[in-house]
Amino acid sequence: MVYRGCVIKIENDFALVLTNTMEYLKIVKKDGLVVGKEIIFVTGDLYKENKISVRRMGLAAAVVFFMVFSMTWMHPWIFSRIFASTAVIVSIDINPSVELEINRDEKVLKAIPVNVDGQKVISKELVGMAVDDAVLRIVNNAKEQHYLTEERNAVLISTTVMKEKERLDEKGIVAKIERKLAQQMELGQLHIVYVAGKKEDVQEARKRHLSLGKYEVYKKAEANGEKITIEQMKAMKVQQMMEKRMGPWEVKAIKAREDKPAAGEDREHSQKVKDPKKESEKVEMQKTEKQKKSQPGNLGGENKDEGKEQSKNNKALVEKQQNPVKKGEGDEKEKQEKKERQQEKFEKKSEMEKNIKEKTPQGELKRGEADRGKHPEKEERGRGDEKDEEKDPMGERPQREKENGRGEKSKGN
Amino acid sequence: MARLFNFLKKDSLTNRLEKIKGGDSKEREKFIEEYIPFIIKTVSNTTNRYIESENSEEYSIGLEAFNEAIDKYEASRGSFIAFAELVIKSRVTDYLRKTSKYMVAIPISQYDEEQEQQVEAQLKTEDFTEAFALKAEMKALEDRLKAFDITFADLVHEAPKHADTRLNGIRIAKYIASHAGLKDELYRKKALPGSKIVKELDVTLKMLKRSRKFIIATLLILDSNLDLLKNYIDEVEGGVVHGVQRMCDKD
Repeated sequence: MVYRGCVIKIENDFALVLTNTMEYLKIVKKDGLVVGKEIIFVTGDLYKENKISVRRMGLAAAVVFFMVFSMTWMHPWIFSRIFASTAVIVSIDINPSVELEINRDEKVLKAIPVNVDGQKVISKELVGMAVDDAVLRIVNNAKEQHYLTEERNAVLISTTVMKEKERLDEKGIVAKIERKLAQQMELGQLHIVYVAGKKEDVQEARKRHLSLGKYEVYKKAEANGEKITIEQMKAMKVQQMMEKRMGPWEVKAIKAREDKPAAGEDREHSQKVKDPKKESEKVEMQKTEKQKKSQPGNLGGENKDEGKEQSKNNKALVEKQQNPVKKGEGDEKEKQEKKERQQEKFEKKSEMEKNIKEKTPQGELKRGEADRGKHPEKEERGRGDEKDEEKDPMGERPQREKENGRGEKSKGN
Repeated sequence: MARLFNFLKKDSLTNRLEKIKGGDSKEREKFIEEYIPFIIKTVSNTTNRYIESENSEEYSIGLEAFNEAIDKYEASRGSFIAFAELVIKSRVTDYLRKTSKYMVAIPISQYDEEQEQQVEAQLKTEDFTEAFALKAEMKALEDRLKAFDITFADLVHEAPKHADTRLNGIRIAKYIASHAGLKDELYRKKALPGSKIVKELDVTLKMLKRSRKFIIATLLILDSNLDLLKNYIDEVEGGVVHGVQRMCDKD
């Protein structure tokens, strides 16, 4: 539409016109505008006041949208739902007890000390670490603070899947932890006991201030008719638990990668034998194993674990012979610890050397490897052993390890 | 559907152009008339000035250029509108360059007779005193409106949008202007003598209230020396709301 009008006033942003139809209009400013001049203009020249307001509204809308959006993302509840939901709880008992909450990426979200000692072995750094690194760190801390020593080296690990949907591989996590520990731990050896936790037990365990792993052991012990209170359970070290062979210990112990049979043998000679049947079974098992190993054809099929196991068995045997009273009596054992340690070194060495001919030397190799980092003395010894072992083709090992892991489990069961 | 419609429209446009080229002068006139807003817009955008109703040389150049565009247009050159815009722009730019006001002084003797007339016309319209008087008058109107607490900006928002209502307002304003008693009362009280007007002119109080500012402004214009604006009022009040196109024809 075309307008004809008289300019009546010129403002900063626009000019006012009175048209020949007596309309008062605002038009955009152009060059040469003079008040009182009659001009012709079209609809496109009309000054749109809402032009700015539309822009402002858009801006406001954008700001509001951004705020809502960012608030949604920053909101802790949603944040935790998306990124920080606990997928698995891993508990570690030495007897500092610690629980690690990990997410589906197997990163630590939270490290919870279950008892006072637990506080000492954890730090803020754990949060965000991969679960295996975190466990390694805890184990090393425990070692530094003498919760773990060469002799008292039992660790109870439990995993509890909190979210079934995530389909996390508990076994995979444990295997990962074990692998990491075997590679980098500062201790010569660890006795790892694995217990699978149940989601339903989390609440109960928390209520009783017990770690999940211990709670599971407690439950099973109770089911087996053993008399033990929660308080006792709390105070008890995993080493003691192992020695007392509480609850379904044996069954689980076989799943653990290291020497449960050693504990079993200790048991044999102690006077508190609770499960003679199982013990005898184990002895039998060990015998058969030894037999197998002595067969030359079997040599290739043996793995590190088996070798290790055997070496430990041997060690245990020697210990038995020398110190028959020691086993099962925690206090006495603790007193004797220093002596024993020195003795053991020699014992181990001599035993190993004896066994080399008869058995696979791989056990010693492993021992040697594990010791290398920490104990230079032992390392040397270990290396001495290694020389013999190195005759074995190295390439085969990883495979063998897997096979043996499986084989051992089946044997144990 | 819209595309189809567009297609038909385009078709009719090319058809019409062909018809015009064929020598249909009536159709040509009609066509140009339809596109006057477009011409005004293009010229105005090119010069970045509003076209002045008097002395709109640029506007007539634009019209000529548009006419030229019709003759020169070929369908193969793309859209007619774009083509016409290009032609108008280049013609107007040429004109501006030729008659640039900022050109260095040229002795009048160099002009031929035609150009001399042009210069004279230009000088005449750019009469400073006239422009100044208009400006002062407009300022006076604004001041008087201020006394009634009215600004031009208020009028933009509050003046009745509907032509009939405006007409009614003008009628009331004229009535007041022609009755000295009412006018005095208005100036004195700074308010419309509502009851009297309602009684005498048969309008509603609501309407009076709503177009109060418009009526007062119109009255003040009638009471001023602003001939152009008074002319507008007369045009509207005369019952003939002139179509702009008709006015453009006059030009």
